[in-house]
Amino acid sequence: MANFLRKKESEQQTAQLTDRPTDLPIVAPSVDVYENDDEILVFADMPGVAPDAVTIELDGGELRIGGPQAAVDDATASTSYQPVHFQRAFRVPSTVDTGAVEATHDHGVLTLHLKKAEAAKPKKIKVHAA
Amino acid sequence: MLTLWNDDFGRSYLGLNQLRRDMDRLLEGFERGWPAGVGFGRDVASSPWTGADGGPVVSLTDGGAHFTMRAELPGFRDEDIDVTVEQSTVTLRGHREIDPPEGYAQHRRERAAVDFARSFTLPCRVDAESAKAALANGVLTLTLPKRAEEQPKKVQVRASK
Repeated sequence: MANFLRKKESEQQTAQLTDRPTDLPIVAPSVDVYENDDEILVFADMPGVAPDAVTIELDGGELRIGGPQAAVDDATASTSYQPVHFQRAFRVPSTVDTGAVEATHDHGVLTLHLKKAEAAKPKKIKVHAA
Repeated sequence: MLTLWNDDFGRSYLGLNQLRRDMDRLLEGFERGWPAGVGFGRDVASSPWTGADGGPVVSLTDGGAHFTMRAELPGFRDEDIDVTVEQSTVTLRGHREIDPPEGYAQHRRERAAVDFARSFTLPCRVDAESAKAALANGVLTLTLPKRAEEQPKKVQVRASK
């Protein structure tokens, strides 16, 4: 598990250079990552991103989350910031069941439940006295 | 001779403008993000908007008849946010707690519990009674109408005969 969910800095940077989804500045969202026997649980702060604009890709042991902040129409901005595109990639163990990922985006926080495949869950083996 | 002087004068301002643009760009970078370690939001270390107590990424725009203020507050509920408007001062207060789910091992913890209070002084007084606040997708949008006497006035230009 040591390399589990290590942020793939170099790959991410390459992706930014060659495969930019947008012209918006790319910002890595803050994340919390938890794990138990059944699943990996990810929370990511992505304020200003509409739920239907969130993208989640799980491919070859790599999880990519992202989404653009909704554009704001301010003709006379005096002190304003440009919207950003949140993007971040993680390495996830191959034990994650790619067909059973649950995602919700509520109050600007993305919640991801990555279920582990049945075969990968730890099994308790009962020892019987002979 | 005078023309030459003008040119030099203009050029020196050109340099100043360039410097100002460079500074603006530099500061723009700082305007995003929480101080390191406080963390929700951006990866930038510090900002004029964020003091040692931290604070959200905020933008302020002047729409003529009203100001619009936006603050990024992911994970905050309505009841976690407190907005007060007085004369030309807007105060934002908020807190959020991060409760780690029980029975889980923790791999990464970047989203911090936050407790902040920040005041902003607007360029003119606003009508607190008709101010509006809306929270959507973790972004608080405040609409702050300027007081009637502060509204922009149009001055008719008439050619004199």
